[in-house]
Formats: sequence, structure tokens, C-alpha cells
Amino acid sequence: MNNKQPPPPPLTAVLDFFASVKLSIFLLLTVAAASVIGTLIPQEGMAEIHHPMYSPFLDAVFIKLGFFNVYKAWWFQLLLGLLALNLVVCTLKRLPITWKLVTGVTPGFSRGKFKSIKEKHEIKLNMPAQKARDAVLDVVSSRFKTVKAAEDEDGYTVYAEKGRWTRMGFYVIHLSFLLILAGALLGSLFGYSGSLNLEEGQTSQTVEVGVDRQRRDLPFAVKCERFEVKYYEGRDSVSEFTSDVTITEPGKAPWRTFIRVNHPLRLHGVSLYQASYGVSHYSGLVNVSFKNLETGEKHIVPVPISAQPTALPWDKGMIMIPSFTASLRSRDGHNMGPAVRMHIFPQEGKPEVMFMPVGRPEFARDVMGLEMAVLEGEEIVPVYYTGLKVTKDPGVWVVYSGFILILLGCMVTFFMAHQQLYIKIVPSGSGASVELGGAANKNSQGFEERVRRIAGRLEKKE
Amino acid sequence: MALLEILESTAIVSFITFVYGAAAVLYWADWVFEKPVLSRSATWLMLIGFLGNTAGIVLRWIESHQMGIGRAPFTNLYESLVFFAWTIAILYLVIEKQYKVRSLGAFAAPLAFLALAYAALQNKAIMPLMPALKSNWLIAHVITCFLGYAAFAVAFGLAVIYLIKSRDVGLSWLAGALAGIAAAILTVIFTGYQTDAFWTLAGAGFFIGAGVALGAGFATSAVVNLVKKSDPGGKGRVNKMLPDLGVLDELTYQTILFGFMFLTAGIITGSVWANSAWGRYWSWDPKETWSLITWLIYGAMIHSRLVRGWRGRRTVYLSLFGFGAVLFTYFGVNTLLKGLHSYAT
Repeated sequence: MNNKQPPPPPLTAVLDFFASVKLSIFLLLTVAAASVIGTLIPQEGMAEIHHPMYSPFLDAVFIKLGFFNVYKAWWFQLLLGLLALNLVVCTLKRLPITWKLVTGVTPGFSRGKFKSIKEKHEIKLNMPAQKARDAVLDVVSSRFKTVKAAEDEDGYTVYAEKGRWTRMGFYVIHLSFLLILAGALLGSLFGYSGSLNLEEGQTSQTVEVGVDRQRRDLPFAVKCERFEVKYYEGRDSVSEFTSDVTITEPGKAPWRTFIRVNHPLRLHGVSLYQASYGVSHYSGLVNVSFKNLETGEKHIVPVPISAQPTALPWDKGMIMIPSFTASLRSRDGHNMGPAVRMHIFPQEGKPEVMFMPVGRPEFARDVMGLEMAVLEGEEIVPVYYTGLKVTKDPGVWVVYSGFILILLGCMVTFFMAHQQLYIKIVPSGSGASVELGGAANKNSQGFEERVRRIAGRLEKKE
Repeated sequence: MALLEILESTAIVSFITFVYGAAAVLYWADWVFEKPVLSRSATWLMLIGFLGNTAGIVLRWIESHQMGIGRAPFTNLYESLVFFAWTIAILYLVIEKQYKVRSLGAFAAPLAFLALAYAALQNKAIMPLMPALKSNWLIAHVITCFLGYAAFAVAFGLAVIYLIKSRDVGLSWLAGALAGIAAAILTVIFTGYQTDAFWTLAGAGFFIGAGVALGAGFATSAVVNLVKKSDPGGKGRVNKMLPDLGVLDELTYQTILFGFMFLTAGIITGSVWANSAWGRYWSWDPKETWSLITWLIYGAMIHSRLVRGWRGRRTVYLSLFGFGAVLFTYFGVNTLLKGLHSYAT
């Protein structure tokens, strides 16, 4: 007879390969190693990358291998895919067995299993066997879910069991791992992430997405009423950024709300986050003084900071101040303080553009026979824009349910066990001899201790 | 309140550093002299240290409220180190009570001491929180992460005891080498490594690190060889004092499961928090990624126990590697890599 086992059919061999725990360990460690690469080499989108970063050769190799974008590289995704496949095959292979075990009929005392238990505790009780059995049942039934007692030729047997369902725990962990991956995939396929910069008073119903700044429609309009930066009392550290916004949904009355850091606005599957802010421009006006160098006459003209030109005195033309800056740097790096950008449009000839410091009459200039100086400004206030991050991620709830399940699964799988206790009660002399032995599928040391304590409890029953 | 005005949280913590230090010395003395009075007083010191540590944390919380910027005391490297020492202490005390492994104190107490000693070098000022940190997730995130870290630290101590007990030359070689690399990295961190110079120094660092690892590996295996020669039958006092390999293996595993669950919870709470602060639950930030790497290594370790014949030795390898990843996640990332958690330095 041929003692050699026939080689397994190819499909079984492949399935066995994908069901192996060694493959899981290999994949887990490989994904870990690949992730290390992504933390050592600067990744695209995290920092500005200027190629070549390394030697041109190394740079070319790294680009080919996707080392500048490891987590989106095909081989990284493939590793994750293999891990998922490994998990699915493992589950499909083992689940039917576990399921049968968990849902099967509760067994009774098994002589064979009892014999195979190495560590047993034997105690002598000073009571008849029947009473001893009652004492055992009393102690055991409060500690185990199912208890079965029987009588056999040499005495009584008791079988107690609990936590059979905990064997399902590790499937829950694996399922939640798949859920998280699936949620991430959903998000990357059907979600987007964009930015929306809104000046105070500005409204938008679209958002810029991705590097190519594609515009996407939002299911509602957002208007920034006000942006506020709050500081800690008596300190210069920021305590809060708040956007005060009005939301207009089609067919509904507009309503007002706040968006703060850590307190996003979630609406119609879209989330708006407080991400950044800045000064987009200033509003207010500056007083510009003019002295007619021919007549010596003086005139002060208030000019608003805007793209609207104002008439110059003596019909000399127009003046416009489109922007204000809180601090102007001179060419040699000096801070000149506040300044404006000024356009002069003469009646005839070329317009002139210049920067003028504000509130510094000593920097007066001669233009078209006029001595011009910029005096103090009035009510110059910054107009802020709020930088909102806008995301849509339909996968996030799938991921979150994976999160909850993985924690529940860990608790069950790690800290609860399927415990089985076999007890044999045999009359000996005037009393009874009780032998206890048990098995747990996890933490056998802990279960051993538990059996010892149950034995101790019984001894006290006398 | 009069007491509160005299005692400052930082002063208490500085004092507790020495209490943990003294406990460490007593636990070591117990290995050498094996007098019950030594280990018993070490346990008492550990308990006093833990209570003082608790008081320090609570007091700092109160102090921040008195300054008008009330926030949980888990927001910078100093505070996280103080909390790390606290989690190590409580975890160790529970294990000592539950499993009667006093020999573990010789590793747990010095780790708590080192955490506080390193904390002493940090900026201790109570600063107000930046808006992104003002979240209820902060407390959940820090507590879960640090319970995980502390469990891995304790598991590391258990793995080292396993090593000593098993007198495995190859294993001790690897452990020595790993310790050498860890020491090299920690030295770099302590001396304030500049990120900009990373790649220019990486080559030199590799050879120095490899050299240190080789040296440390040889030294450790030589010591184990020596111990084996002096006590061939393993009947020596120290060897007898240590728990059985089976017990150590199981206890290491249980501790790692506990750590793994809390690390999982830590990553999840961080993720949910990131989603409410930055609009992404995962952005491959270096700290995130390194916590995932740690998770994957311990995940592999947990699976390795399902492979026949891999218990013991290979489990110890992976738990040593895992703790290396924990140290890098905690200290290395903030110093060597840039990212969202950079405020923690």
C-alpha cells in the first residue's frame, strides 16, 4: 500500500496557502515595514517635494517604486488586499467548524475528555456522595451558564460550561477589520475633500476639490457672517477660532450657526471644518492731503480702501487706493509700518502706482504739481476670510462601526474564554471524593486558578 | 487648601522620581540577597510612589484651573511622561497582587523612574490648550494610548525575565542588539537631533548603530554564557526565584493582549478625534503610522501563538521588537519626524 498522501488538488493548495496563519504574520509584518518607508521618506501632499531629493538615480528608483506616495502605491494596496483575502479565506475555512461547535447540543460529562486533562484537583468531602453532588451543583451553577449532572455506575458526574459563544469573538475582530478597509475604500471612491475660503459677507455654494481645483456643488449655500479669533485672557495664545455662518438650504428658511475647531458642521453628508483663516483685505478709509504748489491751497480728501476711484481736487484726475497693508517692508528690509497701494489717474498721460506709508507726512511726494501725503486712516479694520475644509465621506460610518466591533471583539476574544469543567464524585468511605478538571480555550493559567478556587470553595462547604 | 498652596505638582513629581528610584534599588537588592523584607518594602515604596504620582496629576489639574485655563494634565511631553509612569506603576502593582511576580518589579520600577527622570528635563510650564486639542476625546485618547504603552512596557520586562530564565544565548544576543539600537536612538533623541541633518547623518548612523548593536549583542550573550557555566543545572537562587517559563509566557501574552486592546482603543479614539478636528480619520501622519506599525507588530505576535511550536522564543522576539516600536512611536517620532503631534515635544 502507498503510505504517501496524494498531493492535494491545486485549488485546495491555493486555498490552504491563503488560509495559513504564517501568511497573515508575513503580511502584517510586511505592511508594517512598508509603512516605515512612508514615515522616513517625505510623502507627496505632506510637504513640498523638490526632485531630485536624493541622487538622481535613487530619485528615479523611488519614483518608480512609489516611495514618495507609499500608501497609495499599487503594491501597498495589493498588500492590504492580500491581507483582506487571507482573512476572508481563513474565516470561510474555519467559521463552519466554529459555528457547529457554538450552536451544537450541549455535551454532557465525557469520560475521554476528563481522562485527557492533565491537572486535576482531588478533594475529600465529609458527606455522602449525593450531598456532595448537591454541594457541587450549588457552587458551580452560580459560576457557569449551563450545568449538567448525571448518575453513573460509580457515582455522579457534573459538566459545567460557559462562554461557548466567545469563540465567535475573533470572527468579529476580522469582520471589523474588513469593515474598516471597506469603509476606507468607499470614502476614497465616493467621497471628496476640498477647501472653501470665505470672506466675511461672502457666500458660496461650491467648493474647490483636489489639486486641479475642480469646483463641486454643495447641497446648500454657506455665507460667512463673521470670523472671530478668541485669545486666552491676558495671553497671546489662541483659545478659539469661530466662523459665524448662515446656511441656506433649498426650500428652507436660512439659519445661522457656528463652526469651530473640533466642532464641525455636518449637513446632508457633507462636513465643514474650521481649518484656517487669514486677512483677505482691509476696509476703511485714509485721508490724503494735497497742497497745490502753485497757489499754496490745501485740501484733504478721504479715500476709501476699495477698487472705486475718487476725484482729485482741482480737477487733476482720479485717485484710487485698492489695498492696505499693516506693515510694509522697504527694500532694505525695514518695517515701514502701515502703508497703502495707491493709483493716480491724471486727466492726461499715464497712470502711476505707488506705495505710501500711512500717517507719515514726512514721506510726502510731488505729483502733477501737488504735494501729496497720506495722513492717518479712519476705521481701518481687517476683513477676515475663514478657511473651511469641506469633506464628504460616505464610508465614515462603516469605518466607525468597524471601530466599535473591533473593540467588542477584542474584549470578548482576549478576556473571555470558553470554559468547560468536569467533576466526578465518587463515594469513598463515609464521605465522598470529588475530582475536578477543566479546560479553557484561552488563558489556561487563569482557568487553572479558577478551578483551584472552586475546589477551595467546596472544601469550605463541609 | 493651605497644603495646596505649599505643595506644587512639579515638586511632588520630582520627589516621587526618587521614590520609584529607591523602589527599583530595593527590587534589585531582592534579586541579589533574596530577603522578603526587601521586596516587601519595595512594594510599599511602589505604592507610595503611585499615590504621590496620582496626587501630582490631580494637583496639576487643579493648578491649571486656578490659572483660569483649566484642562486635563495630558497635553505635553512632561505631562505624558508623568502619566506614563503612573500607568506603569498601577499596572505593575495589579500584576504583582494578582500573579505574585515580584521579580518583575526590578524592571517596572526603573521604567517608572526613567520616565519621571526624563520628564524632569522637559518644559514643565502649564500652557493653555490650542483649539485643536480642546476636545473631550483628548482624555480618552491619552488614557487608552498610555495604558497600552504601559502594558507593552511591562510585557517587555516579562520578556526580559523570560530571557534570563530561558538562558537562551541566541535570544539574548538579539535582545542585546535591540537594546543597543534602542540606546543609540535614545542617545540621539536626548542629545537633540536635528531633523534637517537626517539624511546626511543616516549613513554614519547606520554603521554606528550596527556597531553598537553587534557589541551589545555579544556582551549580552557572553553574560548569558557565563551564567550558564557558573550554574549549569539552573539550580541557582535567582533562577529558582523566577516564575516558570510557561507562566512567564502566558503572563507576557496576557499583558500584551491587554496592551493591544488599549492601543486599538487609542488609535480609534485618536482617529475619531482627528475626524472631528481635521476632517480626516486617517491621514498617515508619522505618529499615526508608527502607532499602526506597533499595532501590526503586536498583531503578528498574537497570531504567532497560533502557529505550532512558535510559542516562547518567537513570541519573545516579536514582543521585544514591538516594544522598540512603542518607544519609537512615543519618543522617536516627535523628535525625528514631523507631523501633527509635533506640539508634544
